[in-house]
Amino acid sequence: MQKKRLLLAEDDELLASLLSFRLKKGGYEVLNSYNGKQVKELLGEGLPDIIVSDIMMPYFSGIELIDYVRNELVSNIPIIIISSAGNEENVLSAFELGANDFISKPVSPSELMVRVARELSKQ
Amino acid sequence: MKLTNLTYQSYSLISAPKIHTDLLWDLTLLFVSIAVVYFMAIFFFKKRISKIARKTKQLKNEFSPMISEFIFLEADATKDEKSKNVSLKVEIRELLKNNFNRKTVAEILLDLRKDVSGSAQKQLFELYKDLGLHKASYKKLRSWRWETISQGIRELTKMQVAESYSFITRFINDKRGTIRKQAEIAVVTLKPEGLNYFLDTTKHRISEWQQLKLMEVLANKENYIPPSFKVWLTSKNKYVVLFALRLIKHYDQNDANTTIIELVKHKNNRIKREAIDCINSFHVTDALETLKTVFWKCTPDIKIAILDAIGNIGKKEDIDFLKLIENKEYSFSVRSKALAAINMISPDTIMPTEGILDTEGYEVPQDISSKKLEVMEPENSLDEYVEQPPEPIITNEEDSIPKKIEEVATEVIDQIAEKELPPMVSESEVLEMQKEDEPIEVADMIDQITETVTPSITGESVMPEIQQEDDTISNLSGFFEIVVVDATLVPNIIGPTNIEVTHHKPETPNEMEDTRPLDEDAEAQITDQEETAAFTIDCIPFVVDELAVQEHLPEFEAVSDALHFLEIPVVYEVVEVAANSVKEDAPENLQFDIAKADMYFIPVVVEDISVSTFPNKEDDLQEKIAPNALDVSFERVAQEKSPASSSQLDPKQLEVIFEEIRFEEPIISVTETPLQELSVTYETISIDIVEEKAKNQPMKALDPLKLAVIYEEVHGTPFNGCASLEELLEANILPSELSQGHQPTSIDVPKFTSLEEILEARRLPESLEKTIEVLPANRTEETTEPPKEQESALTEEREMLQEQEELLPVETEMPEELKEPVMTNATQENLVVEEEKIEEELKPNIENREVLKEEENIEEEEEKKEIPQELAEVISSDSIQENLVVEEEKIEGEEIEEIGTIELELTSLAEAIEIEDEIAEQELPNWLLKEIADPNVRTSGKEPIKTEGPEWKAKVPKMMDDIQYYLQYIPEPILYDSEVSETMQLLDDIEFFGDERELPLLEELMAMEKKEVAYERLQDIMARFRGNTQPKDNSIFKLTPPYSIFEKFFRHCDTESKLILLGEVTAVGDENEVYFLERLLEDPEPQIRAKASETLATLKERLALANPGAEKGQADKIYAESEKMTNSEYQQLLNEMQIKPPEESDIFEIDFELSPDGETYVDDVIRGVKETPDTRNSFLSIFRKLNSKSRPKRNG
Repeated sequence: MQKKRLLLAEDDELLASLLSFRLKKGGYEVLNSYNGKQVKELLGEGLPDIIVSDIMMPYFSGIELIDYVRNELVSNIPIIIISSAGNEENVLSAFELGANDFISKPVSPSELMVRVARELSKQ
Repeated sequence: MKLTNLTYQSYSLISAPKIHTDLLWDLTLLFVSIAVVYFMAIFFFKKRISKIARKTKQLKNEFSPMISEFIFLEADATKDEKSKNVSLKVEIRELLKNNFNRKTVAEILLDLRKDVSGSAQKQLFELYKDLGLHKASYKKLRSWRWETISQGIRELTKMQVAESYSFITRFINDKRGTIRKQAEIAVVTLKPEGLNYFLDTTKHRISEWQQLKLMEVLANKENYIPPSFKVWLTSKNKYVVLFALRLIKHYDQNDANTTIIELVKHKNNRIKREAIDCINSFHVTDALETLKTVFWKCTPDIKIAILDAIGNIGKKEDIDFLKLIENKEYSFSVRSKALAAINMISPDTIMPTEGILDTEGYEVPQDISSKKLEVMEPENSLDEYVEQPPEPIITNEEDSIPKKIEEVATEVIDQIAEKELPPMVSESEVLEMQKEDEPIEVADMIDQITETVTPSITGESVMPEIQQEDDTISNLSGFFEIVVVDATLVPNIIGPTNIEVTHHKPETPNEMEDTRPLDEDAEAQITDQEETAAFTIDCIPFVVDELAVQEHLPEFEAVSDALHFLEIPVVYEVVEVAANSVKEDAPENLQFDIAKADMYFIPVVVEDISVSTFPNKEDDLQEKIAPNALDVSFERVAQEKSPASSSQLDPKQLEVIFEEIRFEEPIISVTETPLQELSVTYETISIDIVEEKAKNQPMKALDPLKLAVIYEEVHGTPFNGCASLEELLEANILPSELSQGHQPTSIDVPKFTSLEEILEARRLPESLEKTIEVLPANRTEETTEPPKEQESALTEEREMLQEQEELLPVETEMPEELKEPVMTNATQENLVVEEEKIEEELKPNIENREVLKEEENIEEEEEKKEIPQELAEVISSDSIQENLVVEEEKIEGEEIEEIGTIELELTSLAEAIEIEDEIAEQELPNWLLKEIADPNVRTSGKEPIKTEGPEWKAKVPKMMDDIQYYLQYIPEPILYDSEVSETMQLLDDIEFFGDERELPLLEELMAMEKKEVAYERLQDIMARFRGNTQPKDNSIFKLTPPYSIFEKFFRHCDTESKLILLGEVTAVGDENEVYFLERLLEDPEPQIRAKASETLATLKERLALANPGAEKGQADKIYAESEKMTNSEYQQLLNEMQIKPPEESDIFEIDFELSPDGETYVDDVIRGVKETPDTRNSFLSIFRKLNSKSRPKRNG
């Protein structure tokens, strides 16, 4: 069975590494990107099955990423947003632009796994 | 250097400094070189920092997968995964030996900690400890740099190293604020009881920010159950009290209302404010009086808070207080709040006055002239007596004399209040005034006076009137009210006579607002524009409407009575003013000029419709007042004789009837209640106290002469094999009725009134109903083994019979055939015959039972023979049955008739019980022996102890000795009644859980306690809490080996961890670890043994140093033992390694001893300074101490 491709956009390399490890262990093929430019490049190569993105990223924020995916790429792939607690405004914007789910920092890797699985099962 | 070669030319008028060019070049070179060095340093450090950053990043990239591996290692991982994990662990441990690596890993974990949650976070914490990174943090705690210590505490807190709690607690009261605050957060975070410890021990200020942070920590704690914070309301640290109040409010703990009310009186405004907020939040209505009391001494902010609270929780009774505030308070904000509070209690009471235009025909509200009078108790208010106060008569605006008088009265009262009771009336002042032997409160009295005389609080009717009134007060007309004043208070309230009243007409609304405070400055500022009408009065004009007097005089007298009852002397005056007008005409007709009149009395003005009635009143009054007891004097009061008087009354033409009545006796009883009516007759009530023993004796109802007492001789194991009555009850052998009602020191024998009841309760066979079985002592029939199938039935049967035996002696009505009072031999024989019959009926079972019985008897006899004489005595005298037999033998010798009553029997039984109790103490070893020997009791595998033969014989004395040895440490049982038992239980709990804060409670308990035992216990606990005594040392605990906290950890960890733990033992271990370490010396692993030996030696050394005094001897002993042990091991090691030890040299011998106070001593010796009380606090000694204090810091 082919592994699901997951694009993880997170500027904190440590956290990205940790989440990536967990997601890989959970059976996903993880594409790591540490800034908006890399995300665009990866998206240009091909759309993943799901995107997990931090809101605050250099060059290209999570909000812009959603806008880019929904409006420019015109894709309905599920997008899960990771944000710090108290960043309510951004989260609401993200949902308005078409984010599917939201998870706040500190992130529980197990919870992220469940949410990813749920979003994929909806497809 | 030549100064001739100058590089500049001198200009006129400019006198520049002459600096040699070479010097300039030198300076240039210097600065250039400095700049070069500077830039090189920057370059170097930048490069270095970049390098470190790169290296760190590289290391982070290397370590992060490893850390992820550790974090996400699942419990159900495969063997390969686990082995990989182990090898990874080894690898990372190797890497961690490098300081930089260790630092980097710690950084990674600390960074990740804030980004992950849930189980991953917990794994992270575990990993941090597992890798030993917390040790680095511990090291930081030892630093003398505050930032390093703070960082260490922060790391330990973030990584939830609960073990560090005890290390961090010592920083709670650190003098460096940053460390202290970090420690506070750590202590609260690491353990649930941390907050308690912190609040108990902190001596420093807790800043607002810190309080918020602590509350945040508490809010984020999982499963946190907040303690009852009220215990810290009594803390000596006011910040703790403040914080506790906030926590109480936060957690809605409304169980500390009384303490919170008390804290309203606190001198600290913030505490006061917080307490008021709590009162407001919890709606503590009990606090209203306290709030009112403290109000006057508070700052405006607190006053506003109090008013807010009163507004929220107040009732209509509190409106008067709020009105008083509105009148007396300077601050506009407070006054506004008072009005708002009135409206909160009773909406729409206060209406807007600002900017309200005066309209023609404005009607004065009724309440201007119908002020209510109140006596002390609201329920005895004069409202009841003055039900329909006369309405004010308003002629026109110019003639609104009542209003003028009221206005003047208001002014007078204001001045009185200002003179005698300043706006900031302190609580102590109020209390002092209360002490002046009047049972009423001055403040309330003032309230009443103010309320009575002040026409309207709102001012809505008065203020417009003031603007329109005439400049002079020339005409007075109207009806006034009854006022009752405590004569003793009049001087206090009114003060010196001849109060100068200045009335001025305010011009502007603002001025109208501020007319109240008439201080000296204000008076001085009165200008010509302020038209004044000054007159002097010596008293408050108290004017009574005649109609009201006529209608309500009896009631008024009744009020006087009430006041007499309260020991309030009444002063009232009556001025009769002749007037022939009816009410409606009064304003026109009843007018007189008091503009320049001096009033030296309290006039009570009455319309004289029928003047002739007044002398009667006077007569009546004089009749009612005992002339001998009172000094009554009357002064002039004007009375207009001609009823058809003119419209203007001249006071000087008034005829004086009487004016003043002075009662020198403070208590005047106008209507005396006959004493006979109040006589109380006491009757002697005789209470027959029936003796408890007899009361609980149902047999009492029976005629004792008709009863027969049957005593049985019962042989065999007492209590059916049970060692004590308690065991018997536990085994449910006795019926439930007996079990429930059982008391350890009493026998419940007489619970049954008849044999039928006993038999029914015990379900005996019908055949046994008519008799009571007497079991023969020895039954030896068949010795065949009973079949196993019958064993249960047999046991049941046996128990049943045993129960019957145990219940005896039983007093019962004799059956018809046994009516003879004396038990004869014939009846005994009959009984035996009956018994034999029954036995035949039950033969199959009884046979089996007899076999068992026989075995038991044989065993017993053997025991009796074999056990030493004294033991045999103990055993033989053990059972209650045997005691009963003894008693029976005693009683049998006498005639049953002589026994007389059942009380006597009960007495003998009680004696028997006492003997039984005594014997039961000796009995204990016997049952222990049996229990040890009983094969059924023993749990597993091991062979049961044979209780026969020479081996057993040899064992018994030794076992007895052992048992006795241990038993001597078991304290004697102390039996209390239920009440004392509960008290003692409570005291046990207090002792266990409590501390010195329980002392007030204990004192309270002690005051109430009458039982000596409890009293002594209370004294004991109090002494302990006061630190006078130590808890009683129970020597039995000395027998148990000391418990080491490390022992628990050793059970579940590998060798490496054990070695680490042993290192910890060296650092933090105490004397409890010695025993544990000694045992580790026998550990199978040589590494552990060696490390344990080393640790033991170090620990003992440390303990010896720590306890040089009392424990020195013990420490020396321990050290000597360990020395011996380590020497032997050392020799063993040398032998194994085939190493020849070096020859002993005296080079390392030390011929001096270190003293703990060596430094100070040396310092003093060197300086030649001997510290005396004079020099200790001298100026130079401060520097000396500073130096000695800083030395350890310099040494790190």
